Amino acid sequence: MAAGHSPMEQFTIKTLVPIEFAGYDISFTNSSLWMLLAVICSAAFLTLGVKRDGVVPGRLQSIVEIFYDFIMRQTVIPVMGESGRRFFPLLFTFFIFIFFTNFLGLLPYSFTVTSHIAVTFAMALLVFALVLVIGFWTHGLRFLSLFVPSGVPAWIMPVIVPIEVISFLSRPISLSLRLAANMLAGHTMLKVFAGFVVSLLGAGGVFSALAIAPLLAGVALTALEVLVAAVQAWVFTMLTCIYLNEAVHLHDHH
Amino acid sequence: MTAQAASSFQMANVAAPEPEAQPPQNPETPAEGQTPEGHSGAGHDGMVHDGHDMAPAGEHADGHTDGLTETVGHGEGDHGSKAGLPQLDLTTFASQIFWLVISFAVLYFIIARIAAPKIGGVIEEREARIKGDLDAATDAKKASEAAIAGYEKALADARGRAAKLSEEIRGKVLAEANARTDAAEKQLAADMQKAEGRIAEMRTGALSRLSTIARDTAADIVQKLTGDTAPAGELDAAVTAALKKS
Repeated sequence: MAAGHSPMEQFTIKTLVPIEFAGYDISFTNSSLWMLLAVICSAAFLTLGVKRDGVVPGRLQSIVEIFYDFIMRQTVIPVMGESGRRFFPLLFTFFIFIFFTNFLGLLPYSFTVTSHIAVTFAMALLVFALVLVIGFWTHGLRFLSLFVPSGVPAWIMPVIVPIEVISFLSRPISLSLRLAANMLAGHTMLKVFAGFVVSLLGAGGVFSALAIAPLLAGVALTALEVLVAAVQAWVFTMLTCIYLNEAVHLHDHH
Repeated sequence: MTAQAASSFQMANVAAPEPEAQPPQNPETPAEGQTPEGHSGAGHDGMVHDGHDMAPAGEHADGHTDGLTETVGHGEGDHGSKAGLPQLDLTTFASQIFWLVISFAVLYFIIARIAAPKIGGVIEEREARIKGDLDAATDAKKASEAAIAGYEKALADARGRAAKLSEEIRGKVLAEANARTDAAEKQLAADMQKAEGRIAEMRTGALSRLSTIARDTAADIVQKLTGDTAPAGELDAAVTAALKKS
């Protein structure tokens, strides 16, 4: 069985409880399980550690507040200004959800929800739809001026405008692919190196001693993946923030 | 209708990115399908081997292999994804998106309604407390500075008043002393004047008596010498002339 393990097998979605509704297969899968675990962990993290009278924060509360502060005061407010406060719950949810699914995915035998393009693309589409709704809601058709950069000579417009439109339309793709590809690549690499360790150990003799090399690489990769898990969660949030800011403020700076 | 669309989409997808991965998928599936089947798969394996060894058991083996293919057929939906990238298996998309929407919505609700207000509240409360404490400290500092200023002013005032008072008293005492000296001097001057007056009076008195005595004496001398009485007028003139000479 071990020999048959492909590095891709970890991404297989396994049905745990088959559910079908209106012709759709919405079975409870390992993906669903780890999504719910991420929600439970993050909800516990965000609510249990914070005490109302926690004027002097405890350890857990300090960490929660670092998360909060990092998104609120180092991401949302600098990018969107004070008007970004109303988007904070959504942006914080993005950050926390991606952060926790990424991190839980690093646990051995777990499943990385965000390694699936269906999940990341659905989130990116939510961002895209939100940008469109907010953009047209606040600016009406003037929102289309987003595709007309200011200070560009008119004769260049026929080239610039299609480029702007394409770049706008490709945002959900890049937003979702970046996250999914990072998770996919990182976890595949971890699995490949872990596989080397097992095969070298199995080979016996001198090869067994060599197994230390991929093991060390795996340890280093794990550290890197911890970083990537956090960074990608933030990158998704930051880009969402930038897109939403454009929808709210168009060209003018807040 | 959408289900149809999804399935056709899946077919297109499976065909498009992995046209070569498709053929080896089929021969692989029974092999893979057997192993995860656990005890039943192992049982079948044994049966199949038996079937190879012993011809009479062929019927049994056939029946079993039918069952095997059936179970594999059931599992194919799951295992079909194994050959390609599991991420591109569109049959799992509905479930993934459904559970994503649920878990994301739940988390959003928890964050928007409970966590974010709570954390934000605690942070704001702490900042308000710190700001309040700092303000109170600033106020206290201002108050203490004002108190120091008041104390220094009071001290300066008191010093000024004391200086003024001592100046006043000195002036008063000095004036009194001066007045007393003046009075004493005046008294002395008056006494001196009086004494001088008396001296002058006594001198004029003495001088006037001197002329009378001189005339009388002169008259006596003239009478004794000449026996005549000298006329009074001549006598007076002579005496005054003599007195004037002296």
